[in-house]
Amino acid sequence: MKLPISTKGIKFDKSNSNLYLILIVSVVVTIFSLTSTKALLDQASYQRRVINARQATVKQLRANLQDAKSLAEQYTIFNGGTTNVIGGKNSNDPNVLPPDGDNARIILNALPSNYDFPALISSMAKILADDQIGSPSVGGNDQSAQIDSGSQTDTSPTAIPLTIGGTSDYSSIQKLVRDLERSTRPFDITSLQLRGSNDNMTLSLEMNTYFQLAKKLNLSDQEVK
Amino acid sequence: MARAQFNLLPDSKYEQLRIEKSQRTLKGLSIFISIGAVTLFVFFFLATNVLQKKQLSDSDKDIKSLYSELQNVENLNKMLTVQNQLGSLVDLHRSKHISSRLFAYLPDLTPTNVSIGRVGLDFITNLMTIDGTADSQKTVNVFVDTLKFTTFNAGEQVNDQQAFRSVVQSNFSVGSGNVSYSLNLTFDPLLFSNNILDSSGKQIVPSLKVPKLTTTRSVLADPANVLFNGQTNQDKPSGGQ
Repeated sequence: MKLPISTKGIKFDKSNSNLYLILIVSVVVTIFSLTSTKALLDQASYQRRVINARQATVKQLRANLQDAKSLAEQYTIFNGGTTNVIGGKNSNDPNVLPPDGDNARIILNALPSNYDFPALISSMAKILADDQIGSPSVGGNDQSAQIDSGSQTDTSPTAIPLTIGGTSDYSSIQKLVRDLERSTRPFDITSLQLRGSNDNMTLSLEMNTYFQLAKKLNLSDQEVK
Repeated sequence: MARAQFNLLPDSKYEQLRIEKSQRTLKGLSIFISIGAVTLFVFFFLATNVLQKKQLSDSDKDIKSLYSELQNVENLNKMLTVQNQLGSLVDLHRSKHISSRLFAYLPDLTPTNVSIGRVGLDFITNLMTIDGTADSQKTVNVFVDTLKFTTFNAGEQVNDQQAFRSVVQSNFSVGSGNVSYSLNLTFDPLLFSNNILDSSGKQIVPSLKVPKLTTTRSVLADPANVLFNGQTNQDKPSGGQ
């Protein structure tokens, strides 16, 4: 007995199922590809920002390297010669006393790169003694505990307030004030009091001097968002 | 003359062919879209995971190499510090006050018969206080007028500007043979500034123009006639004005 099945219908169904399979696979592949492409685009965009930041860093480092080489040449010239900027003998011997010494040392004496209050007091006492100031007094607030040179990163000048007092004649006091002004280390007098006669005068000064932390080569991390 | 054409296919066959053609088009289109999407995916996969990774790796190597090269420059930190300090020193010296100019100004301003017992300068408030003695109140008045009408020049920017914006005799007392006085002055900060430069960058020192109301100590130049005599009105009963 012959079954009433049309071979055309079977062929048609096979062809349809083949079409459905291809369509399903295509849709799956397309959706997967497009979703993955979207994720890759996000990743590429982020990586592009990182690459740009790194390329900017490379460019900056190349410029810095060029500047460093140029600075080294200028530093050699600056520190060279037979006399230094204040007219003393140019010497890199650490034991020579001012005005001798190399220019770098003079600059670092003028604006020290660390906070050394006891050394400052000693320097002031020596200046007062050299100018024959009697009953000298040097005062200030030692902020060594608050100022931790190692942890600070600000490399702008920091004021150190000082008070100075003493007794002398008028000309010695004039000499002291002029010596402070001529000093390579900046002393900014903010208040001055003179009392007494030309022969016996009492001086009281309030002033600021400064230190500035050392500059260090520092490569830091930056987050790219 | 047009040839006659006959459709010899039966309708069912024709319909089947049309369906098959549509199916082929649909298959082709879906395969084409899939291949396009896969190509796009492969392109971005390669760009992200091969090309960009290589760029990242190269730039990282460059950074490490250049930083290492920079660190190897001898004394770089010291040179940077000296350069930084040098830049700041110029500004610090320029911004400081030249208080020693007081020693030049006082003899120019102080009449011969006026002595000073105490002088104070405050550069934050720009106030000056002068205490002392004189032979008469008239001389003190001349001193006050001299201060009031004194002007100064400081290069092209400042021409005949008033040196003391206010002059107040805050205290006086009359004693036997002399009078004591106290003056409070507000001075122009440029008088003690270290930062007045001309067009060529050369430093300018302000010069006072003192009115010739009386003979001042700078004119007299008598070493015996001392500027500071140590007397103020604090030792005497005082009045105010």
